[in-house]
This record gives sequence, C-alpha cells and structure tokens, in this order.
Amino acid sequence: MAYYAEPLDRLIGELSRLPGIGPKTAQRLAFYILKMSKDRVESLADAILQAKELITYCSICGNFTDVDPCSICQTPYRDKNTIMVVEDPKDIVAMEKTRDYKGLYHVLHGAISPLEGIGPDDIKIKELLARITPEIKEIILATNPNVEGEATAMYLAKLLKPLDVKVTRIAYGIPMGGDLEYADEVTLTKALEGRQKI
Amino acid sequence: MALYRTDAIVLGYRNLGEADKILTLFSPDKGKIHAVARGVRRPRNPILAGSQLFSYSNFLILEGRNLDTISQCEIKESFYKIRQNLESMAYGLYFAELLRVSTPLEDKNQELFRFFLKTMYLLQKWENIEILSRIYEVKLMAIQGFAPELFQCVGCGRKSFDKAYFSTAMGGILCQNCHGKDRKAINITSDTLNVLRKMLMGTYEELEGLRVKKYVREQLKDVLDLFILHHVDHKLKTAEFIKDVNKLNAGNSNTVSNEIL
Repeated sequence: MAYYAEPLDRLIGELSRLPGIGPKTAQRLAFYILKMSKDRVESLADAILQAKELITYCSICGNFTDVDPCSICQTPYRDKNTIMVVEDPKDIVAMEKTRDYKGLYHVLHGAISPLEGIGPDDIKIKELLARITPEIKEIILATNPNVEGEATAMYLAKLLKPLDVKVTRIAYGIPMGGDLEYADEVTLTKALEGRQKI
Repeated sequence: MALYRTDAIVLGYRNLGEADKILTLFSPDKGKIHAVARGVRRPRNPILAGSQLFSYSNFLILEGRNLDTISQCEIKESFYKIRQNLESMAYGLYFAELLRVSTPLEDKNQELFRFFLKTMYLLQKWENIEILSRIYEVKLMAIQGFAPELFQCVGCGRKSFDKAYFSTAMGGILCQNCHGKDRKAINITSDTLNVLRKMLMGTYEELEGLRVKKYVREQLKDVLDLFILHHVDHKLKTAEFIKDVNKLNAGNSNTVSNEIL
C-alpha cells in the first residue's frame, strides 16, 4: 500500500535525491512545500528552472555565469595580469568575500585525483595553458591543501615552469582563532616556515 | 561497543556524505581496516591531520556494527615530505594502492607493516625512485606469497641456462627448452635476471646504491607490470598518474635541452 498520494511521493523521491537530504528531511520539506502558498511554490520552481537554464560556464575562466564572459572577466578595473587557479566555483565565492584579491580566476572543475583515476586531462588544465599570454605576470595556485589539491598544484607548477611566468602557492598556517596547542605538526612546521617580520 | 587503540598508516580514503571520509588504514595489529573519520573535510577538525594520506598515527577507534569510527588520533610521522614532491607523491600513492589491492581485509601481517613503513621512510630520501619502486614490487609480491622463482627453471628445475624467459603465469623463470610451456613468457637478459635476483634477496640497505642500465630498467618494468597485473587482476589507477608525471618530466627536460641547444 502506498503511504502517500502519487504526486507527493514523487516530490519526496526527487527531494531525497539532493545531497545531504535523507528520506525524513525530504518528507518534511515536501509537507512544507504543500503548505506554502501557490505563488511561493511557483516562484521556487521558477527559480530552479531559471538557474538551470540561464547559468552556463564562462568561456574564459570556467566560473558559473549568466552572461558570457562572466562579470569578473568583464570588469575593466580588475588586474588582468594575475590569474588565481581554483578547484571549484565555490572557491571563487570564498575568495571574493575577502575583497582583497583583484585579479582574475581560472576554475579547474576538479583536482587531479590519482586515487580515483582522475588525471590531468580530466580537468580544465588545457584551457588554463591557452590563457597564458606574455601579459600574464603571476599564476596563484589556490587549490585545496589536501592530497588532490597538492598534486594538482605541483603538477601545474611543473607544467608552467618552461612558460616563464611567476607561479605562487597560497600560504599554509594556523587558522584564525585557532589554538596552537591543537595544531598538528605539519601545519605548525608550515606556519613556522612562512613566518613574517612584523 | 568497544574502543581499541592501534598504530596505522592511511592508505587511502573516499568521501562520505558532506564532511566525512572513510579511511583505509593499515595496522600491524589488525591488518587492513576501514574506519569512518567524521568531519575531516572541515578545517580545525582534531583528527584532520591524522586522516591525511600516508600519515602514520596512533588511532583510538570505536568499534561499530558495520563500520568503525575514529575517535582520536596522534601523529607519529606525517610523511609530509613524500607529499612535497610530485614524483615521490605519485610513487607513494602507487605503493599504497598496490598494498591495498593485494591485501585482504583484516589480515594481520606485522612483517608486511614493517616493510611498508620502511619503504615510506626510504621514499623520502631515496635517489632513484623508479628503482625503489621495482624493489618494492618484487619484495611486496614475495611477502604476499607470490615470490617469483628466479634461481631455477620452473619447468624442469635446471639451474643454469643461456636464455631465460620470465613467465608470469608459471611464476618464474623458464629455460630455453621449457619456453614452449608458456608461449607468453618474455625473454629477459642475464643482466635483468641478475638485478631481479638481487632485488628479491637483498635488503634495502644493500640495494641503496644499485645502478641499473636503462634497457634493464625498461625490461624490469615490463616484466613486473605483467607479474603484478597477473596477481592483483586489475590495472592500478595510480600507475596512470606516474605515467603523467613522467611525461611531464620528459617534456620539461626536452625544453631545457632545447634551450641549451
């Protein structure tokens, strides 16, 4: 016997396929949607559809965008001589929140992961190489400080070496508000190596 | 549910849910085990550093009905140096994958653990990592019970021969007369055979300064690749990455030599 009417069952099924949403959460969301006014439900459905239809990848940097090239690549006042390489569009959002970085980005859409068999040809490295012109003065490697990110950064550093462009890697260290006592040896060593005069 | 404490090296992991990972650990007391590390994809997690690949730590693990969960860990050696160099990282990943696929779950083997730990220490400072990799392959297969017979013909038992063939299916050397027993056996030179024998019998310390000619290195790679494929039965993903890294190194040295010319 079906517990729910068919349309409701379908809604719960679709919601529970989203990441981090289990059957219970999906059920709660579905019942909430049923209680919402029709206008709000239409607005939600429309927002999902619009986002899916209008958002594409920027042809230059690979970020999600509704206009091509994206707003960051188009802005005239940004520093066009620096490219920061990140793994994911979400990283751009994090970096933009600092309001400190004024250069351009390049999204790799993944990282080299030898454990999962993801090689250099499976991420957007060729697109990065195509962007390197004599005007580019610096490439900042801002991949995650885990095995995949490190492998990607080291691979890129080697690949870019013959191109005569300055390649830098973001610093490692103690997180703000952290406790030295709980920091691990590797982070502490790295923080000590990267110490600065004040 | 009980808690237990064990030393272990992280051999691999896969992501679980939003912020967790399932680690594959190799421990001297338990063998290869899987354990969940909760929240290790968020910064400031206390077990974050110990859950990194290759790190050798003392773990406090909570036994679960399906999967065990890591409760605490204290790093003994992070092997961070391996991860600082692209080549050693590529080989480290390969060593870990080879151990992972050739070891059954929860099969305690202290000798294998000591051997692997030593290899990881050596990987940080060994000069020619390709040679280290060949030694590791031969010795690992031997410890796992697949030592190749290199001192007599596996077909007739003869101990001296002019031409030697390596048969992966029969697990050793075939002489000229027995070559017909395995048509896929590869002809190897006496230099290659000698190096293979040294690698199988010698300790890492004895083999540290081993110099191997280029054609012997190539032959060793072909023979051992086939030998491993025969026993572990599938292609290793990390071997592809080593190829990518080697290609990159070859490309860079070409540009350098072009610049010199």
